[in-house]
Amino acid sequence: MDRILGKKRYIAVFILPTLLIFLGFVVVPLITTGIYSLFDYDGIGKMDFLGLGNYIKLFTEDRYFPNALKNSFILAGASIFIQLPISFVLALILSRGVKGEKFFRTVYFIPVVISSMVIGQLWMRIFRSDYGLLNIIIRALGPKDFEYSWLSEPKTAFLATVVPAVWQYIGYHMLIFYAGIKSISPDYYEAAQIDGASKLMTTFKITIPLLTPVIKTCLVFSLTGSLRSFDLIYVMTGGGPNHASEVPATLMYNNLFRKSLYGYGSAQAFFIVVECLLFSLIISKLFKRAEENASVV
Amino acid sequence: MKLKRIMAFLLTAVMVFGLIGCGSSTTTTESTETKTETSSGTSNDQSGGEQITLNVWHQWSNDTNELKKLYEAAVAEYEAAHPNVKINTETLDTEAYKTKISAEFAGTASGIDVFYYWGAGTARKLVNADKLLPLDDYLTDEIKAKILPGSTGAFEYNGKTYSLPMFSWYMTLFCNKDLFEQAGAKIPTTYDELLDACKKLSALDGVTPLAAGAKDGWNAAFIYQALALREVGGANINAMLNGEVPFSAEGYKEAADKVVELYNAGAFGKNPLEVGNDDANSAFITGKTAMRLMGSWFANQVYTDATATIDPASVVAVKIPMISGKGNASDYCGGFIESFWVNKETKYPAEAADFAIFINEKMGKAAYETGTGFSGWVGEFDESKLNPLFVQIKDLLSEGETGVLAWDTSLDSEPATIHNEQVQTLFAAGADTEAFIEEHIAAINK
Repeated sequence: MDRILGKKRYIAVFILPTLLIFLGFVVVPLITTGIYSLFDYDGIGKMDFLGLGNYIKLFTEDRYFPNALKNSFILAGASIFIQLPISFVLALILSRGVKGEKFFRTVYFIPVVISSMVIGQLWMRIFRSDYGLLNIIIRALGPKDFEYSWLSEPKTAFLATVVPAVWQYIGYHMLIFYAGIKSISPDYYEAAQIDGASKLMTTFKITIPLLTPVIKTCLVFSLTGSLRSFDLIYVMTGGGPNHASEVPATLMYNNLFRKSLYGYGSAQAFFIVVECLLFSLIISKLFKRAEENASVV
Repeated sequence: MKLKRIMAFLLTAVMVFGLIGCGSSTTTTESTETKTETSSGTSNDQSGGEQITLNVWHQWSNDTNELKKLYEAAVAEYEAAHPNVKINTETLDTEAYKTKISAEFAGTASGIDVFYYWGAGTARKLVNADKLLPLDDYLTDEIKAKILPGSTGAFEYNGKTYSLPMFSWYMTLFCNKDLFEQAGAKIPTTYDELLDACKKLSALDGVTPLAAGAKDGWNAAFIYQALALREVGGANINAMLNGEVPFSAEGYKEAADKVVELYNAGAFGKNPLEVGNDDANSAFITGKTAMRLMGSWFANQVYTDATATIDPASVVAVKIPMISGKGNASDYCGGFIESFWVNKETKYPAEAADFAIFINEKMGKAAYETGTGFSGWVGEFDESKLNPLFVQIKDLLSEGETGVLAWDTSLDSEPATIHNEQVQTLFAAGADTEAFIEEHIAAINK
């Protein structure tokens, strides 16, 4: 087997199908998107070359773009500082071998499997002003006539979409962490126990350092996922009310498919791609050294 | 280790682009038949010609949709009369359908011969890009004589006719008489009466006076457009939508102020932006709201929806309330907008045009006979199945002279989208009608 895998020719054969799919569905569309983004184009008629005009417009004239960008960073922050720690703690607890480990693992993973459409509809009901669960709880605890509409008030609309967005993927990251923790050799823990290290110590001194590559993966997924988030926000608010909950992807959708601004929308799409790539590279750079020190998993 | 770094980069790229894809459209079955030579100008095909297949697309994708069944019956009839023509139909849901048509016509749309689309501002893009076949050469005097006068405006561009009417709609104020009686309110004929009725109705427990459905932009737009129609007048709005006169504050701002006034009077309930079209429709047929401003197609739902709890006989259809001293009572919102069009690149222009003309007439007739819309064709109709509510609307329409289409179908897609977004801002506390007008001026007068 080693002999086979050692030959470049065989490696090429194994990679080829995936590579073709990747080229056809990712690289080619990416290049065409990049080309469209240089034109004033309505998707059907003439294409007028603008050069970087669309990008200049995006960064200087677009009134909603700065806010959309800010929103996507808020979401990214919530994902990294709220979602990932919760996932990690859950993974730690589960991997310690609690009772009903399988059951809890499944329960936490359910939201990941459910389609975003359904989750969006579910949370829309929770945030409703009249029969929404959240307001019913608030009314039970305090003001009897509390009728706040979380999703149609500009102040809270975006935050109300962040909650389910963070909640949805907790199970996903938990599972990745869980698998990582499970693959750490028990020898380390035994050695630590003999040396008299506490549970907390082993977590910080053994588990986290050894999980560095896994943590990096989760960070990249979480961050890029936030920067190009679309589905939940589209379902729950559509970027409204009055653009309060826009993110770059909802703006892009509006420009491409509602306003028929294919060139301008493509520029936004291309920006999202470049942005995600850039952040992935930054995270890789940051983790480079840490990864060299830890390489168990 | 250059290779390693490239591989790492590629893998990162794979991860990042996990969700970025682009719907590449696959064309439907191509007809492999050879092209038949037909003399253009005659729309009667010669039987005994070669077998051809026409690919037809429309957006009645739901099997419970009455129009879909009517369409299928019409196709069966056409195929029986033209044994050499096979109609191959494809459907998609509205939003996906629009995207699909745009994507197809970015190329030559080779898998589409005849397709359902919206006229006026929506199809203008296709006409300007020379993607559509004008039907003038195929319109015989016999066909022209059957078309209802004044129903083709949305299908004519630069003096050519690109499609024919199918059926029209009429914006109606549906009122639940029982709830009005309970509140001691009068069915409104003027804006002042409407405002008064809303105030009285809002005192009823668990009842919203008028369900706006404002979560869907076009629903919010209906309410604004109705008031603008009365403030500005149908002819002036049409001139504005056609770009003959610029959009200005005059009349339009007053209409926006009236929406805000209604909102402040509690007409739309506390949070109208939470409720969309479907929820608002069901609120009406379950007696949770006293009024609904909707297209004539809603009449059918009042009578046929299984979830309805109100007595359909208690529903009254009335005109958009008048604003004293302004507008004309004969102005209305609605008209002909949807129909079947022909792709200019079709291999069989004569047959495709013939089918498009046929299906538009058939669907117009069928929509009318089932109480869904008003046919754009004259002829003998079976009115035995019309529900009483639809008959009321028919009488209202007979008094109508100048029709204004929904703005988002008349305007180009960019100002149309901005309009639908902006009207939603009127359905929340602290609405700024000055800004509303400025946004419209910037978008429409571009």
